[in-house]
Amino acid sequence: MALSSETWVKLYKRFDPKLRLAETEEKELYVQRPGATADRILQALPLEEVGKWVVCGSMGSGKSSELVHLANKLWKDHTVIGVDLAASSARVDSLTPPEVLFLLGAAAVVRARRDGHDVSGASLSELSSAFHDLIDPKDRRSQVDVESLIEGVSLFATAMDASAGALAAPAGAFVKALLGGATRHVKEGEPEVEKLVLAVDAVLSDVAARMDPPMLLVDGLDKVTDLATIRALFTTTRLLARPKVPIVYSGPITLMLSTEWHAASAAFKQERLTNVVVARPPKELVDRLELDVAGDKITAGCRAMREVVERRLRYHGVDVDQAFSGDALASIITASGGVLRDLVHLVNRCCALAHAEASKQGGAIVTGQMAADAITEMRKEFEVTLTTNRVDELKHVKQYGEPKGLTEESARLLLSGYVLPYSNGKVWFEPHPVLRGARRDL
Amino acid sequence: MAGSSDGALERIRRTVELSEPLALIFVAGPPFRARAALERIRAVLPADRPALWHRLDQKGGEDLVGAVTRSGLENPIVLVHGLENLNDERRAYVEAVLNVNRDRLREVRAAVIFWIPEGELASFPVRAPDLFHWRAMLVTPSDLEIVPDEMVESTSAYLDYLREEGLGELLKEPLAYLVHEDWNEIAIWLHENIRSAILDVPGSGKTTMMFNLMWFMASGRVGSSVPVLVGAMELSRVDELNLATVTNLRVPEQLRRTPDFVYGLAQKGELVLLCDGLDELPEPQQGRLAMAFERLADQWPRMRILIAGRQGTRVPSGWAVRPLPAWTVDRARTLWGRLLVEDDPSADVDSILAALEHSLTLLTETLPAPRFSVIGYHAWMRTLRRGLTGEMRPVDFLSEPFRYAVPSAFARRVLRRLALGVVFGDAQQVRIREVMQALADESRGETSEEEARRMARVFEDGAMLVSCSPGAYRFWTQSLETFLAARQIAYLLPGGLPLPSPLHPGWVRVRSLVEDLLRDNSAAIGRMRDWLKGVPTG
Repeated sequence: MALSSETWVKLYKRFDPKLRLAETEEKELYVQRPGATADRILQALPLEEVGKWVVCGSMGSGKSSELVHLANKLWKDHTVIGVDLAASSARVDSLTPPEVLFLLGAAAVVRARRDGHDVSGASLSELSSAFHDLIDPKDRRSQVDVESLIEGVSLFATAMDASAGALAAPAGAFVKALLGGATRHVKEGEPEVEKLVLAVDAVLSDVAARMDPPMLLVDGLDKVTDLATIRALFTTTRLLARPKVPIVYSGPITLMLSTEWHAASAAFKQERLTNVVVARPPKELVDRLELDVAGDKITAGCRAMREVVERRLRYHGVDVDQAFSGDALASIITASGGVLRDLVHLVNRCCALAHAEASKQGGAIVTGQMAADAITEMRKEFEVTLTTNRVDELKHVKQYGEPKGLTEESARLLLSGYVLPYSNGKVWFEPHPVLRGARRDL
Repeated sequence: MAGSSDGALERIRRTVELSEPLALIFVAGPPFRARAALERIRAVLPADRPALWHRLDQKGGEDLVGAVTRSGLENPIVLVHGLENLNDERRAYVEAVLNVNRDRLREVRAAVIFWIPEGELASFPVRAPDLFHWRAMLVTPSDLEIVPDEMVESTSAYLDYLREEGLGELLKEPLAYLVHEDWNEIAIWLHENIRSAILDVPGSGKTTMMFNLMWFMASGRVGSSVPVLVGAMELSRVDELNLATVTNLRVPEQLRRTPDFVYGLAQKGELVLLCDGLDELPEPQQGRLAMAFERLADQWPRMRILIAGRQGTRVPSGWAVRPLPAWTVDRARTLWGRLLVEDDPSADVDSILAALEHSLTLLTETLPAPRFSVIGYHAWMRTLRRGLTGEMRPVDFLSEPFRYAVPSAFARRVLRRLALGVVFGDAQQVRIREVMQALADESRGETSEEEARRMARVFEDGAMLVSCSPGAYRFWTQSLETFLAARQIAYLLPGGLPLPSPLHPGWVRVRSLVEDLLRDNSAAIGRMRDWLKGVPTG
């Protein structure tokens, strides 16, 4: 039976790429992908009491969802401090390592206060003084009241917050206007930096003494696109790995490239949140890289992506067969390249098409033609942004299964989802499958 | 997105309706149609929802969420534009801020329609990837329904417009160089080769040829093509080569306000892009620019592009390449020789030309009052006019004979001496010791080692020479051009202030100010005037 236009409106909203899984829906809608990152971290946690992880993946691959999922698994035994750096700073892309450290300490203070505890005045005073020491005294920001910075820290919501009836507070405009490039250039080992490290640890110790062991989940650094800033955060300094509690960061995808990967591995355990394999790589690539992508892996990948759609449909009492005819959903899954948000994008567009049809006909189902139209629309969006340099880079990726190197163009294509990473023991890269058909050579 | 067979406006309307509480829609199109196109979009959206116009090019414009919140409007339709008015650096900043603040958009309930200048379409998704990834739809420039209909005007209307605006002088043929018979040879070649390059030896007259081609075409006497002449050095400074950046570089502001005129010409194949001096760029930049030309050619398949450079310059693959026609060299030598005599009746043209190895480039640079028409097209001249008169004027100075402030005699001698064979060898390099010797000869004095070192330092500080290898330098033409520009500015300033010689330490400061002017920083005019008042020349 065809679905009504009202149902398609609900489904359109359910597949809105802007929406995160709400904490209350996480249980119903979260789909564990093959080789789940969160589970690996959970398994390693007892052995790595102060472990540091960086979860890297394509934009829209589900890094934030993975952090929320981790939080929901951990909160009964840990004081989960989930900090959203993008919402806690004016320019997350300009944050310096000391600023991130400070925000971790500040987030711990906020978490404790929300749970009815408080850190000691001495610890708070140390944190404030250590951070002030790192701001250039001539900078207007040196006058800022650290307490107001703390108030502006934004924690992301978890099941624990939902159970306690608390909501994550949005950052205050005043605070947001200040953080991001506020500290002077420092080197690891400088006394002022060490003072900040100690101050953050003191705050975390206070939290540990009053509550369950703290665990920091840090979202937002995956939005950093400047290579120099990424290196300052993850490879050339180890400040982010210094606090004596376990921390999981979401990190930029460029850390997946082999040179950056090795440089960062000295301080962080890296988790590649690669995209789900939903199609066999080109034969040329399989031969060149000796990839072993068995059919059952592809089947499992497609099944996981299908389950994402199924669960969201079922949330509104709709079966896949009621919403999609024939191979419409399968073609969308293939075109998504295994990127969760692109899958959501494509289904969202199909919902719009079906809604238009249902408005005219009284009911509609997503046909193969609608799926093809949605894919074409997305392809056009990629196509109009292609440049000669990008095509050259994409051709290289198609041929060799990896970017040319960490050039600006390579980084941009990775960061903006034109080039997608996959893994199956080995890691390889492919141009986004929606680009096939945009140009013969892709 | 809604029904793919529907028009863009209908799809936008449906998407806004479906995407509550927050719709993000990106619409790409010609930069100067932003307001008109957004008004057209606004007209199809629910009238009961208030509209909020938001300019990203205004102070604090990057705080989009703050603007929506402060407006107090309930569920507004937010029409965002202004990227088209920002320079690349500022645009990158605004886009970065929008990107990192994407999640704050959750705080508002609105339909946000972003206008993306089509030239920025390649950059926006990679500079603001997170924001772009939240789009409900992107309307591409091919959805012409969005763009009002009157965009394409005729070339003859353009030429009339030029005359009406007092820009007719632009159309005057400045020098009897190119005549119809000559034109035919070039015209046939250009007609047969829509993508082409003229590559010839240094100083053979490529630049003169390009200028004359421009004037010949702009006069309207040959078909309906409209030329735009740009320097490769300028193009290399823009982040992304596209028609918008070319337009911003060269087309007078009045014409840029003319509705999409340039775009219409490009679509109809009536625009000819002439790019001179590709060889002045280092090899990697040549390669990048060549690829950018390929892309531009893909975007505007009917637009003609002609580039000029020395032999061996990298040009896009598959483009037609030829040397200058044989007649141009003699014609140009005669022309510039005549100018040399006009300036200095006692000049021995033949011997000077021989000393210059018949290099027209050197000849033009040696002229103490060169007809450096190229300067008339620099963006800084518009700024200068605005700074001096408080208003934008067309480039009417072309209607007057050029008059330059004469540099100090010493500087003039040095410049001439530099040009006269000492500097320009085959590789356009110079050994500093030879320069010092030339200077010593010129001043009939001795040049000590210490003096030589001091002079070398001053030359380098003045950016007149670029170090190529230990003791070897390349004369930097662009710096000479800056000097000539500075000289003209100094002349035009109240009181006709003299300019320090490039060998005077004060020149470094002047050069920096002139380069500010070249970047369209009009405040530099005042600073330059103040500076010159207190600086001794010599």
